[in-house]
Amino acid sequence: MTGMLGTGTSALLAFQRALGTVSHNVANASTPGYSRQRVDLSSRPAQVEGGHWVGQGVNAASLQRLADGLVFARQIDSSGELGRLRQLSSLSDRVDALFSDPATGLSGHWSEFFNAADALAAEPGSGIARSQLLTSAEQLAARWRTLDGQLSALDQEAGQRLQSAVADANRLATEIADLNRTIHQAGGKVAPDLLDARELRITQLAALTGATTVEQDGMLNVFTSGGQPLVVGTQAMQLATAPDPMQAGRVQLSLQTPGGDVRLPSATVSGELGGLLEFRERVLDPARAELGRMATAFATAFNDVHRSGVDYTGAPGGDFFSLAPPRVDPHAGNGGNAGISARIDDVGALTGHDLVLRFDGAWTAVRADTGEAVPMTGSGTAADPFRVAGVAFEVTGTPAPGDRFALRPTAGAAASLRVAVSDPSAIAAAAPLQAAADPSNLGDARAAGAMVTDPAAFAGFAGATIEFIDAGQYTIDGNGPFAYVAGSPIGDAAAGWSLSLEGTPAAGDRFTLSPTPPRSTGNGNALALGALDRRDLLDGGTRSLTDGLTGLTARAGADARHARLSFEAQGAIDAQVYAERESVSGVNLEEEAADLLRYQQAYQAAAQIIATADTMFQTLMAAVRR
Amino acid sequence: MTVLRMSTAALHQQGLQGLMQQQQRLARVQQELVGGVKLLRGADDPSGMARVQQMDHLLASLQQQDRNATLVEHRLRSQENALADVGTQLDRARQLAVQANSPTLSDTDRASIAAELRAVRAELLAIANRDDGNGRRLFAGTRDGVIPFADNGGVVSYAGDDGRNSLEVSPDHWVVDGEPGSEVFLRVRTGDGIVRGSAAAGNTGTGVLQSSGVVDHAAWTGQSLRVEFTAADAWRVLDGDGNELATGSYADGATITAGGMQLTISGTPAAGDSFSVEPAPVRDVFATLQGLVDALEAPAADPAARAWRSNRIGAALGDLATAQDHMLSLRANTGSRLAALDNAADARSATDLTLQESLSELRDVDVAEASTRLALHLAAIEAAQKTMLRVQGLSLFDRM
Repeated sequence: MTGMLGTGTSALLAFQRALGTVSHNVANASTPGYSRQRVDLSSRPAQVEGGHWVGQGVNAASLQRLADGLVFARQIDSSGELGRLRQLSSLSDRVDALFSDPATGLSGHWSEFFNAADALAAEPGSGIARSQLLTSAEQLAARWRTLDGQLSALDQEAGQRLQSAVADANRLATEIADLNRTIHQAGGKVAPDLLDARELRITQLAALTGATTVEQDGMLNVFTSGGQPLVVGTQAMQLATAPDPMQAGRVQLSLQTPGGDVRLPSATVSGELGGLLEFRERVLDPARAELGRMATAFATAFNDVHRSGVDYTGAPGGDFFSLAPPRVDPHAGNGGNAGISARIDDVGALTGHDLVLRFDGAWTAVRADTGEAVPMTGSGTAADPFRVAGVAFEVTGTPAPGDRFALRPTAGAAASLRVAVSDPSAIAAAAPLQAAADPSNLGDARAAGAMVTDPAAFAGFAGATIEFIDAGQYTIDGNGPFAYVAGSPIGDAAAGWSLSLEGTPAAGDRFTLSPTPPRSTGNGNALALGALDRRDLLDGGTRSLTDGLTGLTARAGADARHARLSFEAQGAIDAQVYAERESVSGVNLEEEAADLLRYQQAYQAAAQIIATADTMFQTLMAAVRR
Repeated sequence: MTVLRMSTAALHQQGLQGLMQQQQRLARVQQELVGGVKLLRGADDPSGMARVQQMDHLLASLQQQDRNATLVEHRLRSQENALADVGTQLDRARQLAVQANSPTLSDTDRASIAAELRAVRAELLAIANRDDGNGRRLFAGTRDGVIPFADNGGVVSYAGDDGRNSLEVSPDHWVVDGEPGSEVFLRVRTGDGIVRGSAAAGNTGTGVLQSSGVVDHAAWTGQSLRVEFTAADAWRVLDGDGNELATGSYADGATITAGGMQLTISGTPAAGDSFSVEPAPVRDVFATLQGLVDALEAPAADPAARAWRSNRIGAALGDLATAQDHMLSLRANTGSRLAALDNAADARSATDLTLQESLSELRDVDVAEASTRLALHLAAIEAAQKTMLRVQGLSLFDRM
């Protein structure tokens, strides 16, 4: 009987435990990171009573936490990737929206500007057409600046996100280290909920930095995906943001180790931080540099053409747009006092890559993103400056070996694009050279086109007279005679001009060439300005500016698309990992309800055993009372 | 696939995820249908978006070419009208010259004809200075902001230039927007367009050059010829270098042929009188009219002076006829440019249509297809909602 009471009591206690665990599971059915628990029951060893084995009841042997270490490893892996791709995708989407939305993109203003230039070609003397060109130029330049400003704002936002993510990561790392300590001190009797708390924090940390874990003495060491330690045992490393020595106003990620700060490049971290760094390096910087390259190529080419024309007052055209020179930032740790001044040398050779110039006895250039060497020519003198990727630069002062400079040929150039012309009559719509047939010419030849072939040689041009000795020979200002072949232009290469004729000249016919006077409504230069959108100026003269700009949209779109697809794919993987984790560790309420019923019934039965033992005891007592 | 054990949270998450996914798709279709555009972002189709932007740019430049073509057309039509008016005035001048050539006219009659010719000349000058209604002169070349022609005491000066602006009116199709005034009014051929005959200024006889012209182009060397009367009834023909080409005897109305050229002279030339025929020079049409006016207003007291006048009027008649031809050929030019504009308009609209079609294919939503998708997603979201409700509604706890 006492055996029966003992057995009943053990069952009551065990089922109480089991019911408690079921209710704990039910209570935590929606707790993030919770792993379901299970009480393992085992029967008490039997004792020999009167030569027979008699069972002694049941024990709640252990409380089991249902979790799978391998699934956990996959979970933090996926969580890091998902965090990285979420940042990359959402930020890339915003860059894409900037370029592809007509309300914020360049395309509308780009078309309007060239339409205004074409309209000027139709009415070169019209003040309205001239003002219209200036207005649309202002709008185009403003749109370019706005776009660059918005990209720059994205850059700053990425920096701020980086800082707040670093703060979160540091807090999590500290908490993980503390949990490691508590778990280590508890030894084998650690509460499963503490393990859950640690895993949850590691998953959260992985979403920020990407993580891998290694177990050691019950403690989990956490490393970034690149292998940098974040938590070692009870010690948490601190992440920090430090100013980028190559680029003022930008922060980079570093890890504070006992040996000093270690810079973490984007390849060594995943998660949100990795996504932010990757976005800056792979999407934002190239987009800004490319946008700047387009602005540089456009402004430089437009200025070149504009300078070769003559405005309404008869003066040669000036710069139409103003643009800042390429940006050069010395490394914060440079030892020498060298300074670098750079300018755009060849628009067609510009690449849109940021470069690092390094002095080690001689100057070398490498790409900032890949470290690939970039060929450089020139000797660095004023007459023969260093030339690299379309930029010419000169060095002043004395560099120390190891000094570095960041050369950003076009990044931020778009921010400085401004219209330099404010007077509508200062727009150079006319070609600088005009030809006139002498009124007494007997032949039916007329001037079809006078062109400047060499602006430098033409600069001092004062006028020229072409006189035909007969239909096949002519003199220029009395020099010659030169043979005339119908259809081929008459030219003076040394003076930098050429003239083509239509019709047949007669002996004695004269043509005079003169610099275009004031109030000319010729449209020669306006046509050249209006055709710039189609001229192949980029990439060594193989792509037009319109191609370049639409290419920029395509690139931003492709970046966003790639990031979005990767994010969606990772989302599917993450859902799969989540399902696997849930299948092992998740609470199923139906299951718990069934267990509740099961243990409740068992508990009732155990209580009945005790009641039965009592009845038996009463029966016995009643029997012996007589 | 292995059937995993489901947790309640996973079940809930799965339902929610499905519902949200359907909602996203539904929102996308809604956005497409409301905007009528399926290509919303570069990420939807990066290269397609680039092409859309390029085509938009091309379409915009087509629209500008359309506006430019309208401008050019207006300008060419204005020029055509002006040239037609010039033709009318020259007609009138020619009629007046024919009238004035009658020997029966009195000096007063001639004076009134001269006055009328002055009016014609003034009218021509006004036409030459016309603008296109937008303040741009029609005949100033590429200086259309200045008034091109000015009359300084019978001599007309030109302040414009020889430039011609051409404009792209459809892709790679250029049209010149007009002829400069120097071409229209200044460089006008005289005579019959090839040669011009004239009587020497100091002729003392009454010989009048009735006609002159090249009859044998092969024999004509392109040089000028001079018919010189060695006596009242004998002539010789000299070439430009003074070589004698032919000689002959003269009777009233005789036709003289030499060096590929033919002249008819009437009246009675005196010995030493000469007539010359030279390759037709160019002269401005105002000077031609002025010359005619001067001839009409010159006093003609003796037969020699009258013959001089007849010669001048006769030459001017030829000059005017050639000027009319000149204006006609310019009008024909303008007409062919207008025709080219029409062709350009066709080319533009064809290009425009092609571009619009490709653009629409890339960018615009296919309403039928999108509506089908909308219906599909609506059904799916309803199913997801119902499934979620049913699944969530099942709980063993409810039965306890």
